[in-house]
Amino acid sequence: MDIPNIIAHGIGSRTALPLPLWQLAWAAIAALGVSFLGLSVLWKRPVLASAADGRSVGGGKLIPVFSAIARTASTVLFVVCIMSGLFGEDQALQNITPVTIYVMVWVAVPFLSAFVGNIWGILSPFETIGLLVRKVRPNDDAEAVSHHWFAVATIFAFLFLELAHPSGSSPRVLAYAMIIYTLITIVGLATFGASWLRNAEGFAVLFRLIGAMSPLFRTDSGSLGLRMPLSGLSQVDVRPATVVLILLALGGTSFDGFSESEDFIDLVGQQTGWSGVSPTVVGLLITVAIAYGLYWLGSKFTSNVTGLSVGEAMNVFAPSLVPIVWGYLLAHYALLLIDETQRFWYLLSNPLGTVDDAGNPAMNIFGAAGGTIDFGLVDLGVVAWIQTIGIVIGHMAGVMVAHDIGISRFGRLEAIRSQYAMLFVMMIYSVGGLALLFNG
Amino acid sequence: MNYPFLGHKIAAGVVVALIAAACGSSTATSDTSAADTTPSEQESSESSGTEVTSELPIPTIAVSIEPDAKAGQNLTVEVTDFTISPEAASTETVDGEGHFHLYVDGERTMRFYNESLHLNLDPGSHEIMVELSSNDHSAWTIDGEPIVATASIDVETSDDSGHNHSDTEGYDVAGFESIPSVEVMVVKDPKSGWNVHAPVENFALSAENASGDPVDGEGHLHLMVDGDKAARLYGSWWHIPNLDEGEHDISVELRGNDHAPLTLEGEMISASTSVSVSADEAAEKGHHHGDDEHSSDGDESTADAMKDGDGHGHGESSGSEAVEDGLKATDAEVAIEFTVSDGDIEAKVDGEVVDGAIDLETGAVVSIQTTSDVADQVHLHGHDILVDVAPDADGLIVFTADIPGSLEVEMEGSGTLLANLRVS
Repeated sequence: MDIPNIIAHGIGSRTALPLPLWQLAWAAIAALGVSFLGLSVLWKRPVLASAADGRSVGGGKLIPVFSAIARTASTVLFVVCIMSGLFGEDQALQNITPVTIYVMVWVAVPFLSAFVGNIWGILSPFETIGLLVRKVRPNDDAEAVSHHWFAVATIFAFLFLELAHPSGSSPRVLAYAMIIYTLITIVGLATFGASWLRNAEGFAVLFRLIGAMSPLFRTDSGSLGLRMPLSGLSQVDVRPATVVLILLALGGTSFDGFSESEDFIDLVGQQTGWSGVSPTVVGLLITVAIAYGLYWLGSKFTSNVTGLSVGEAMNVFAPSLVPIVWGYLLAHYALLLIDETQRFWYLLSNPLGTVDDAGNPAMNIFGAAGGTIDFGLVDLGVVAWIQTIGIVIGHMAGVMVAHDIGISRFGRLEAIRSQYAMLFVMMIYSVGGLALLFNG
Repeated sequence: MNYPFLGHKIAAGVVVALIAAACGSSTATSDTSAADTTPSEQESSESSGTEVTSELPIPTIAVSIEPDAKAGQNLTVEVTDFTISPEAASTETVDGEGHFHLYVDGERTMRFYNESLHLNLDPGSHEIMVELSSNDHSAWTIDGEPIVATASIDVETSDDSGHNHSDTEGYDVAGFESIPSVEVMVVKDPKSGWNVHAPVENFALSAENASGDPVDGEGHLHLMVDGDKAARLYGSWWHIPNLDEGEHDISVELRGNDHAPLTLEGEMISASTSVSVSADEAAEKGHHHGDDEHSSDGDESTADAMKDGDGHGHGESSGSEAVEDGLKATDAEVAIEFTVSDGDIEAKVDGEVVDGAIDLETGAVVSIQTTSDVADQVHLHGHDILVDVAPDADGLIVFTADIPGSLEVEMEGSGTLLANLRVS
């Protein structure tokens, strides 16, 4: 049976028009010039680490209530998605499962995390499952899994489904994937305890990294905290494979932009079904390898200046890559987020996507079923600027974080010198990333 | 960066196409010979015509066209003082003899030998003209004017009711007073194509009752080429304009008015023969777009023969259509054509091959005609329009490009990207 595959690369109706070159040029110039000069001259003492503790703004009573509501809603949605994937219309755009996974989870959650903190910790159905599993089998060993390689495997499997799998947008396939991943998580939890959710559940690891950018956070006492944006990045937990995970996410987003382009098809030829899998996987791996190779070169230079080993340098500066991942995500998926969030809302009312004999939605839970996306909601020119700013802000923030890490560990001049090469790497990332994302 | 310029180019192309279309239709109504400049068969081309000799009674012709109760349209031709001579087609002109040429909207589409003809026109208004042709394919003329008759018809949007009448149970004729039978012979036309002769016995060919109530011993024929239905026949002669190189199975089936097959002891009453087509014969065909002319769209496909090369293809499909509300295929300002063959994609915009993304101006009415050698669905993202395609049935999408952005057109099943449409 051929499973209909509406969109080879995950889900979506349209992508934005290519940006004019002058906008790209402005983005790159601003990102590089402003960041480097400004930081070198003005940012003389490390700031982020001391700002990361922030201050409490209260809300200690409300947060548990809000969390409970959000956790319940997301658990219901998780079950609905599996049911809908298994028994609903097997059409990517009529069923709620693909839009939930590819847009809500993969784009909306990290996008929002940068503003409101690590919401995946509340929304994740796996956290909820973890609460249950730990009741049966208590194991709070936080270091049973002490690396991020399982998380890399998770995200790679997800990118494979999104970008390469010929039926990756089929609700059926996604439901099976959700069930399999849930079973893996349960086994992982039973075997490794709490550390599984902390270090092996790929979405948790990745989204927690992005959430560290947020000015809002949850204090140790459980109240809502406010801190300087990005300062949380000074506290992130960098482990073996964290850099690979970040660059995999970065490469996946860039490659999604490239793999849709005619250039990619010109390069590898028109591929269909499973024959398109190997070029896509190889393309993804090459993209990640290039990102990794550049970062390695930059770190090599840093290592020469600072006396750190290359591996240490890569890990020390890894948090500076997180804002870039977020910027790429916004740049590539801004329009998708605007369009498909509307679809998500309409499909919430009729999650299975089934229609009655007259062609009307079979269910209308929230009264929004059968709606159609307003493609004029945000002008494409505005979207283009959001994309551009995403790249600019992402790289500026990345350079800033790297600079702060540098001066917190080394003398100011040494920190600046150590970042020459990394600045060059970021320049290549930004210009190359923009070119890939928008196909010139 | 360059897309605004391409946009203007496309707009200019549309203007040219519209002007050309306007000129084409006016010449067709006023001057028959002009229509011959875009013939569907090589055989036509005569601009002079053959004057009817004055001693003979002057032939007259009248045509009428009615929708068929089930699918397509039935064209009826009434002639006086004229003998239809299929056997002599493409030979010496004989006074008072010949066959018919059919023109649809000014375009010559086919040659036919029967006074009743089943057509499958696209939705929309059509001007049908039938011309009396001499054996050598020149028009019979009087005072230089060709002898023609015209009729017009408004074809409503077909509901594409998936007529699968072959599944209906047959009529067993064992109880009939006389058992109907059919034979079939195929001879090469001296000029182009093949002439099929399918004489029937104890069977009345009825165009007027087609798709009506069954009457014993009455009905029509289905012409099958390699197992696919190529045409519905109301007469015992038919012209096949072209066939591919190789062996072809040509068969003729007896069908009741309601299209159910006539059977005898459980066997369908039919006759078949095979034709061997040489490379030269296959190459002689006059149609620009070649290959599958004969192989029908699986059903009722005289329309196949009616497709002829204006190079644009929009509005001429007998396949699936997905047309946005309020639009007609003929509204299209930009005609995009995709041909999927062996996994290769060829994209054309207004007849010109293009590579890469296709730029469109916001608000343009666009048709996307897809010809595919594999069955699949064409999916236009954003608008979320899906249309079926199959090797014998093109898919046509007509829409207004009112969603700005880069929209994929994709083969849904295989995930093959046909093109990105850049609407701005």
